[in-house]
Amino acid sequence: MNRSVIYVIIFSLLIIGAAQSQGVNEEELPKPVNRILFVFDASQSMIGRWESDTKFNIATRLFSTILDSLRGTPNLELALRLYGHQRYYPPGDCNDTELKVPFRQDNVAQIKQVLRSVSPKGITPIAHSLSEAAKDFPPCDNCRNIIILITDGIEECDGDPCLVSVELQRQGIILKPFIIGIGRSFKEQFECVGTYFDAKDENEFRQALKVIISRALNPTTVQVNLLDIYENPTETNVNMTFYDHVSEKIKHNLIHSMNSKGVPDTLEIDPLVTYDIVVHTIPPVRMDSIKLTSGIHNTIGIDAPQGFLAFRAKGRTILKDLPCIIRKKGEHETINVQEFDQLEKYLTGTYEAEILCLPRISSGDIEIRQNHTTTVEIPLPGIAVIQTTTKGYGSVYLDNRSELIWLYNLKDTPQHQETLYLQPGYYRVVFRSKYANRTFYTIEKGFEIKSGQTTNVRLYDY
Amino acid sequence: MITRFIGFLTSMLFSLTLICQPIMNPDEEEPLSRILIVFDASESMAEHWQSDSKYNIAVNVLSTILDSLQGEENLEIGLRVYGPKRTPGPDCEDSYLMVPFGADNTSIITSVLEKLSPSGTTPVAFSLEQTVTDFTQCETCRNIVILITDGLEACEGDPCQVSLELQSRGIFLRPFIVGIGDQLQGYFDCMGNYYNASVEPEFKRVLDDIVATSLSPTSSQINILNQREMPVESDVHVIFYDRTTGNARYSFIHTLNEKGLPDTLFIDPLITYDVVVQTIPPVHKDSVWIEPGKHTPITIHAPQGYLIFRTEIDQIYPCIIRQGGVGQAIHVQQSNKRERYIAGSYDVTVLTTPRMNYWDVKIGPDQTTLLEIPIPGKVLIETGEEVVGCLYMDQSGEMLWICNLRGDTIPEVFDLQPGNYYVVYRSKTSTRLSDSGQKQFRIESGERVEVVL
Repeated sequence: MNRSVIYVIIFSLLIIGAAQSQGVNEEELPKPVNRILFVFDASQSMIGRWESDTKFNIATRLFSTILDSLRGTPNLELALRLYGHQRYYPPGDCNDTELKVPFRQDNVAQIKQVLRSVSPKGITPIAHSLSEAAKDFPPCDNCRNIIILITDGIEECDGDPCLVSVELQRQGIILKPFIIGIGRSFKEQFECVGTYFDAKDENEFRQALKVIISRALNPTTVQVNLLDIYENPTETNVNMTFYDHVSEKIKHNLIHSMNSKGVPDTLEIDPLVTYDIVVHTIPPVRMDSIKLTSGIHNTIGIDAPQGFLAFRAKGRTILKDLPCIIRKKGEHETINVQEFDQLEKYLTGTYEAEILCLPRISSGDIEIRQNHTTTVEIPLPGIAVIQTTTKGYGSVYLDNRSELIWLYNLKDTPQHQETLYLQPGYYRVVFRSKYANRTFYTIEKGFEIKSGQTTNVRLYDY
Repeated sequence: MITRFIGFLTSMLFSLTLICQPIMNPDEEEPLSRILIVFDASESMAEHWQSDSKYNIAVNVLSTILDSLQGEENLEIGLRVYGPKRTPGPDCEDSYLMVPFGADNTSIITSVLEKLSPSGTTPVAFSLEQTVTDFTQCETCRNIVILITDGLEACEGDPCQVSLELQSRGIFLRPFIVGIGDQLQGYFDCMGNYYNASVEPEFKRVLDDIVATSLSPTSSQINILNQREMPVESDVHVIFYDRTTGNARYSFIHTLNEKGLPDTLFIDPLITYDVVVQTIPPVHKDSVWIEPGKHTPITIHAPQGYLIFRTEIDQIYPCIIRQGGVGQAIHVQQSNKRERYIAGSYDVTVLTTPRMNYWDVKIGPDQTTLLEIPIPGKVLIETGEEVVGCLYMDQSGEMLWICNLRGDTIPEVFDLQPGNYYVVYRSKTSTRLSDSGQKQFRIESGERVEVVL
């Protein structure tokens, strides 16, 4: 990532709860399909007693109730994968995992049916189940792939569920999974796999399932306030990119907009992703690891106060093909090459410019202020036409009255004439024919360049 | 008075430009050397010293030396005397050009000195100031001052300051001072080359020395060494700055003669030089002395190699050359123009779109480092309405910002390096994020694509 990116301290991130009325026009956004894969534990320990019945029976019953409530939900597909349901433990089989119900609409009855027909027997191969789950999601461009893992034990097959989960998220196959741990807490083991919920009793299990489904399905919105120097959200019309913090893939790439009420427009956004936001000001502003709260309107404040920088030559505004190198003051890295005749917007602060005229002009303390245009003015250059009668070695110097400052080596071409744009001042050209073998054949001429005027310099004595 | 004023004006005018003397053609005539003897005729010179009065001894020694210079070619001698008048109080303007410059006037000088009797005060600074008009206008002359004194400045002038100023105005070369007796040691060092004469024979030896130093034919050559310590580097501009005054004294393109050896130069030995060889970056050699009457080679290490940025198109790209991570450019080289650099490593930024950075580009001695700039392609971006938009390069998933679109309805054309690009844009008048659009395109060398937003 670009080093010049300004890392805004995460404290300036404001997430304001209250849902606002500026909802986006939903018809126009292509609705993604939500695909939820339930990975259900059917290992031997699920036969264990828990409150009123076996863990497996309680989990199946509560799960079925939730499934019923999801019947007829638009844009939702469900699937079921089991593990530990085929081979008895001991010894169990670490490959004992199976997609029992693939993704389809209206398959709630089928899932319930399958759960009723299995009995828990085997081992707990979580990592393997997760990596197999990747194949359960058929290719789809506009899907949100969600895994909900319901388990009463930790990995028993030497796999690394964390590694598998992070890898699948990085590849963009799944969003961050949810995990419900039945009976006792596995928080430590599963926190790195996804968002973990404890279900010590039936009631907690019911609550956890509800929260997870609601988080997975309810729309979440965000507005980005680009703050000026007075902390007002007035900056706009700049590109902002939302990266998935884990996969580093671009999730949204938008031009910041003010809506008809003059407030930053709202974006519907997936709350299950942790975002890095880059605002493409010059230099860019970056805010990392932004977590959003599901189901509500989030507001993110980013400092992006800006002003303008312009260049001007005295007496005339336009000079073509004159690059100006812009750096942050005291830093070595070029953040922009601004064309002399263009107006450019920068974050407020102090910059330095190196204007590539001859001689180069360095402007050390350019202060960019909010909504203000800072103009750097240079004198209008003049033209030197340097003529020789032969090929040779020659250089042009700035004569600052105490020292000769080297500027340019004449071209060793047979044209015998070069045209240079030079800033007003005193210059000297030193030249010797390529064919002369004595030092005293050196010819030296001084000349003056005046703004907007042409000076002829003849490097011969007649 | 008027002529004096005009003389002052011309000298002021002259001092505003860098004074570079041409390197002499040895086949042409040698320059005229003009020695102005500034002689102390103050009261203290009447004091007894060794065999006689200081004044008489000094006059005798001087006249012997002057006799030996009789008939010398390209030499003129003049005499200024201070303190010859007896006045009731000290007269601080008691200083006169007694004998103006001329050839074969040594006998006149001797006879003038013999007629005077030392009586007055010691206005050294004032006397030096007067030499501005003593040395008549002559651009190719070597103006030399020899001050013979037995006392310090007695009129509140500052001889050091006057000397430095007149040297930097090119009025005279670094002066010689002969101090009679011991009490002047250290006092005149800032004014010029000081010689002490504590005893009579020393006085003679010192004067002989000064005259020899001033008049002996002296030559030099500059050996610019390559990596293998061979003096074969050449064709580069060399400047000799007078270390005392900061003025550029000689300026020439270094040359190998017909035998392939560094050409012989005739450099004034009365000056200490700071030599600058204008390679990129320049090489400095400070406090260079040339021994009078000898041939002194000056050795400078400047192994060089070439750097070229090659493109197959007419477009000239500025290529910024930096040294070791420093932000300021040492040179902006044009594409397709070969330049020579001191061997070493440089950081380079080529102002293509997007910019190309090369860190630690090695330029080997006597080698050419070639950097190829791919042929760009063209994109024409047409909008139809006013937009807010930015152009990016897709660098394996990472967005590299290139520029913001001008955003008006006139199509914009960009020359871009081959690669994948995209434009992110939105209508200027739109109020919704969801109106943002994105267009991808690919640029191939030499080809043109049109993108309609």
